[in-house]
Amino acid sequence: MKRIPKWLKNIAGSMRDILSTSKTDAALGERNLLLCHWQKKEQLCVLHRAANGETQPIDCSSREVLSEGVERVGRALTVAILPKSEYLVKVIETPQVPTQEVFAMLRLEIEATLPPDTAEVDISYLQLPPSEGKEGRSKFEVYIARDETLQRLTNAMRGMGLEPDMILPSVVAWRGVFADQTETNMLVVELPDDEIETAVSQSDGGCHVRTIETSSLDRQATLPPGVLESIRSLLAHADPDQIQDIAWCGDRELPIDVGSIVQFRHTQKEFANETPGIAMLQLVSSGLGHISTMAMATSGLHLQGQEELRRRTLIMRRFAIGAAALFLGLVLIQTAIEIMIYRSEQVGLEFSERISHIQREGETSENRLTQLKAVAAAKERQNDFQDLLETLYEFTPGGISYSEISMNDEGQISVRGQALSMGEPFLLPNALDGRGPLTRVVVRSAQLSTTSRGTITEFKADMSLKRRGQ
Amino acid sequence: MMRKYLSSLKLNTRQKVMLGITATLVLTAMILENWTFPAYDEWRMQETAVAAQANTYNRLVRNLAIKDRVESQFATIPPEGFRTASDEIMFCDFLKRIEMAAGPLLVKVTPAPAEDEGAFATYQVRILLAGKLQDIVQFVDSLMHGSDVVGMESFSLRAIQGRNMCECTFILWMVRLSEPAGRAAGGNNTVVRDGTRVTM
Repeated sequence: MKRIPKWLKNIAGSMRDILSTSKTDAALGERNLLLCHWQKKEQLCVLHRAANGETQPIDCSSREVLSEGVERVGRALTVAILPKSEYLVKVIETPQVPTQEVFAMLRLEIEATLPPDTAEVDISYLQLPPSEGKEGRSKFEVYIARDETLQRLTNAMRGMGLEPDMILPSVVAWRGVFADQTETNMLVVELPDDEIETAVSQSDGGCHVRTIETSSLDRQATLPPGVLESIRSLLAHADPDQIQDIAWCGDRELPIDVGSIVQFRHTQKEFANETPGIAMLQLVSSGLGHISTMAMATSGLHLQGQEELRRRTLIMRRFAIGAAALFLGLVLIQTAIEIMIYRSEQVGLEFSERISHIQREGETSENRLTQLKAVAAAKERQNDFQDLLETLYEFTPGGISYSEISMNDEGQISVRGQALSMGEPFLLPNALDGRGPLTRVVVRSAQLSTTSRGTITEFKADMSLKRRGQ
Repeated sequence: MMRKYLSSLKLNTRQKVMLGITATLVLTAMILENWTFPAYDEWRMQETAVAAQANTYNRLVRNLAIKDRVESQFATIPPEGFRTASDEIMFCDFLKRIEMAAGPLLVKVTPAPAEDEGAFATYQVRILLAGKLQDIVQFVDSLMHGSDVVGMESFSLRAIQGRNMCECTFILWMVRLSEPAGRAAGGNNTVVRDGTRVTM
C-alpha cells in the first residue's frame, strides 16, 4: 500500500485533534487498555487489558516488536503507571469550593508550600471522604510530580512508539486493588528497579504508600527492613484481634506468618513466572475496575509543558493550514485568470483572422449601404412639396383657403388659413386625415376676424407628413 | 538565517501568530496588488476587446449578407450622383442649375458650407423664391427630378400681395457620393467624365 504523505498525516492529525472527544468518557475498567511501566533500567513493560478484563503481556524487546503487538491490540487507551518514587502525596483540607475551581485552588496551595527554587510541577488529585467532625470541608489527596519527570517518561515511551494518554500515580491503582480485595490490609509490590512499594490501607479510607530501596543484599533477605517498618506501621493502627492480610506481589519467597498477627500471601500466583513489572501491572489491572470515572478524571497527571506544546502546535498547524489554504486559493484564482486571459487571447486571434478575411468586402458593402441611405434620405423628401400641395388642393373643403404653409425637417406641417364660418376649419381633420401623405390633422385655434367685407374665421392647424419611403 | 533571526526575537505563541497573520496579510496584499488585480484588469480589457471584435465581425457578416442587394441598388445610381471634383466646383454647378431653373423667381440664395461625411458629401442651400405658385411648383419639380440627387429639408410658403402670388423659402441639399472610396473597395474602375459614367 502506498505510504500516506506526511503533510496529509499532519492534516488528518489536526482534524482528529479538533474532532476528537475525551478519551476518558468511559470508566477505566471498561476500556481497552495498554498499561505501561517504565523502569529506571530503561526497560518498558506493557500489559494489554481488554475491556472484559482479560490481560496479555506484550513483548517489548524492540520498538518494532512492540509496534506489532500494539497494532494487534487495536485502538486502546495508554495508561502509564507512575511509581511512588516519582511523585509526592499531600493531603489537603479546604473549605467547600465549586468543582471547576478545585484544581486551581489546590495548585495555589501546593505552589505556596513548595520551595521557591522548585522546578515546574504538575498536580492531580483525588477527593476523599471528609474527616470525622469536618463534614463542611473537602479533603483531597494531591499528587505532585515534576514536569521534568513526566517529560522524561513521555519521551521514553515515545521512543518506543507509544503515546501516553494518561499518567496514573500508583497510589490510585493501589486504592483500586484494595477496593477489589477487601480482605487485604497491605500490599507489597516488588518493582524491577530494586524497589519495593508498600501500600497500607488505613481505617479512615486513606492509603499510605512508601517506596523502599532494596539493594542486592536485601534481595536475599526474606523481609527487607523497610517492609518491616511498614508492617509495624500497619500493626500500630490495626485491631490486635484481627489477623492482618498482606498481599505480596513479587517472586520472593514469602516469610512465615508472624505470631498469627500477620498473614502473607502471593497475589495472582498464575503469573508468578512473569517479570516483576508485568506482575505489578497485573495487580494494577485487577484494581482498575474499581476506579471511578471522577477519580480517573482528576487523578491522571498531565504534562503541562507537553499540553502547552501540543496546544501551540495545534494553533500553529491550524494557522499554517489556513495560510496554505489562502495561498492555494490565490494561486487557483491567479491560474483561473491566466486561463481566461489565454482563452480571450485565442478568441481574439480567431476573430482577428475571421475579420481579416471579410473585412475588405464587408466594409465596402457597408460603405455603399451608407451611400445608398444618404441617397434614399434625399429621395424620400423629393416629393414632399408637391404631395402636400396636391392633397391640400384636392381634399380641402370649400370655403377654406390657406395663407401660409410651412414644413420643418421632421415633416411637421403647420398651416394658417381663413374660412367663411367658424365651424368650417373643424372639418379639416375629417377631410384631410389619412388622405394622401397627411396624418394627425389637428386644428389648433380658430377665431373670428373682421374685415372690410365682413367677418371671416382665421385658423391654425397642424398635421404630419407621412413620406413615401417611410 | 530568518529562523535564527526570529528565534533571537524570543516571541511567544500569540506574538508569533500575530506576526504570521500580519506577514500573511501583507504577502496576500502584495500578491493581489502585483499579480491578481493586474491580471484581472488585463482579462477584463481582453474581454472588452473581444466583445468589440465580435461586434465588428457580426457587422461585417451582416453587410456581406446584403452585399448583392446593395450592389444591385448601387448600380442604379446615376453618374451625376458622384463627386467628381472639389466641393467648391460641385457647389458651383449646383447653384448654377438652381439659378437656371428658377429664373426670375429667385430672390435670394444662401449656401451653407459643404459637409463631407466620408462616403458622401452634402451641399445645403437656402432659397427664397417669389412668384406664382405654379411657377414655383414647376421649379421644385424640375430641380427634384433632375439629374442631381436633391432632398428637401423644409419649406415655408406664404401668400403675398397679388393674385396667386406667393413667397416660398426652401432649404434643399444635394448629395454627392464619394466615388473613389467606393470604387476602390468595390473593384470597379468607374469614373465620371463629362457627366457620363465610364467603367474601365
